[in-house]
Amino acid sequence: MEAKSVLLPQRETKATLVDLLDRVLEKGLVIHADIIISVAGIPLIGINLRAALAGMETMLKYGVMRDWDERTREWERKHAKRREPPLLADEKVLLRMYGAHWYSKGIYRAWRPGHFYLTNKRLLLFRSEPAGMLFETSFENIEALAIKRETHFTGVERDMIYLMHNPDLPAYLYAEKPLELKEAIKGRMEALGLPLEESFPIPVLDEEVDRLLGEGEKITADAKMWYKAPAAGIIGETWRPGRLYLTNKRLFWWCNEDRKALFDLLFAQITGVRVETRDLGGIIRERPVLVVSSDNAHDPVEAPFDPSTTLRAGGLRTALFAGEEVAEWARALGNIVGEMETCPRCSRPAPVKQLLEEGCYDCGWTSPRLGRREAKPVPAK
Amino acid sequence: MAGIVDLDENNFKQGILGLVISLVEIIRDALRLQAFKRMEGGSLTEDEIERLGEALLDLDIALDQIKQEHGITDTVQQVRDGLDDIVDEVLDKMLDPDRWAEEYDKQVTR
Repeated sequence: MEAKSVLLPQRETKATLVDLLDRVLEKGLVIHADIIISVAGIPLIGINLRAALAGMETMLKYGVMRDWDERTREWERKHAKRREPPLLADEKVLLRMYGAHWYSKGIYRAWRPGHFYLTNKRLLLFRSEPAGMLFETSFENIEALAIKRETHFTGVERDMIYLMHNPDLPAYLYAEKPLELKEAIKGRMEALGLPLEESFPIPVLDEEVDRLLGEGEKITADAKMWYKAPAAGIIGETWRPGRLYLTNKRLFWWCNEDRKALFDLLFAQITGVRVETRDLGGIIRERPVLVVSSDNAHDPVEAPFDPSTTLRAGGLRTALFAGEEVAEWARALGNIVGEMETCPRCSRPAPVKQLLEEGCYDCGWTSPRLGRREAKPVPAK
Repeated sequence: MAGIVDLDENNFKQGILGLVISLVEIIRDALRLQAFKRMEGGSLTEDEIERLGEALLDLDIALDQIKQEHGITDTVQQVRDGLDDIVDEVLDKMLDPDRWAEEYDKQVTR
């Protein structure tokens, strides 16, 4: 192969798709095509194509579409609804930034994005298209505001805003620059002589949870855990962040966003606890997961404070949790759920109930009494 | 030519979303360049320029949010890099007549 002469022009930078599109739109593209689509030589579809494609500046340069351009922009100027939120008399906007509010009422749960407008009187979250006020509260009603660093399931860490305001439930907010927003709110409230609590009311969170406990019931352990929430309405199964609580009577999982427990079992209902490594999908891949199985064949029970999730009678149900201390939880629960026994075949410890009703997860041994039920497939180690 | 993209087969939904967002980004970039041309061209009023700028900025933020929310930032980057590689390769061949001749010979002798 001949060596190339150094005088030949070389391409230094790589071309990108956007560069290509830009050049095409700059010059303009004219397509003049007659196409026939045929099968077995018989024309079946005919297309006469005459098209001119170009960036608007180029079009205008050639005198094409000038009127239409003018009319479109004219219409927009005349008819566009107010893109700014409706303000009160003497209300001025101090700060504007992108943000979102977590809306959870009934089965509809979603982040609603818009723009925060911090005025001299209120904090607003307004969306311009379609126009609507997504969230609103005045400074007099704000009691506390805290920023918490949270890990999204993708691994990204974000600072989320918790806002306590009368008389509503705590608001869960996302802002483009959370610290800036918080400082601005703090500053404004100080100027108005209004108090603002800053340490996050984890006590208030517990207050809500406290209301769920029965007589003589106490929380013995709790930890941040992700729970694979079952499908609800149009939303399919999803991993959701929350807190797992162990009391002296039961195990329940509290959803931060919905402010209620989505999983709740009395100890008597739990048949087995184990740790499995599962592929959580996406970029997270494999993680140890706490698997809690329950069998309601004989005691169909309603989750005490959430009648919409009745534990269905019949069959084995499993709940999955992911988090940092999965192994410790498995041990603690295993001890509670039943006395521990050792598997006759492999001698590894497991809760008695689980051994008898489901078999050994380490070696696959099953009790002869499991004749009617199919032995569960042993998860790969 | 190697495969365009290296999508995660196990996560079909993510893959589709990744492709869609990649396409939206490419269109957004093309629109942004055209927007700048119009702004400089002098045919827009001050108000229109501001509106256009804000809308494009909002679009940027919204796309970033979507990518973050679904963990597809890397996937989208891979798709776009893959497409850019193809464009670069094709242009390279077209601009360098020797290589073009080489390719043509390869085709003919097949």
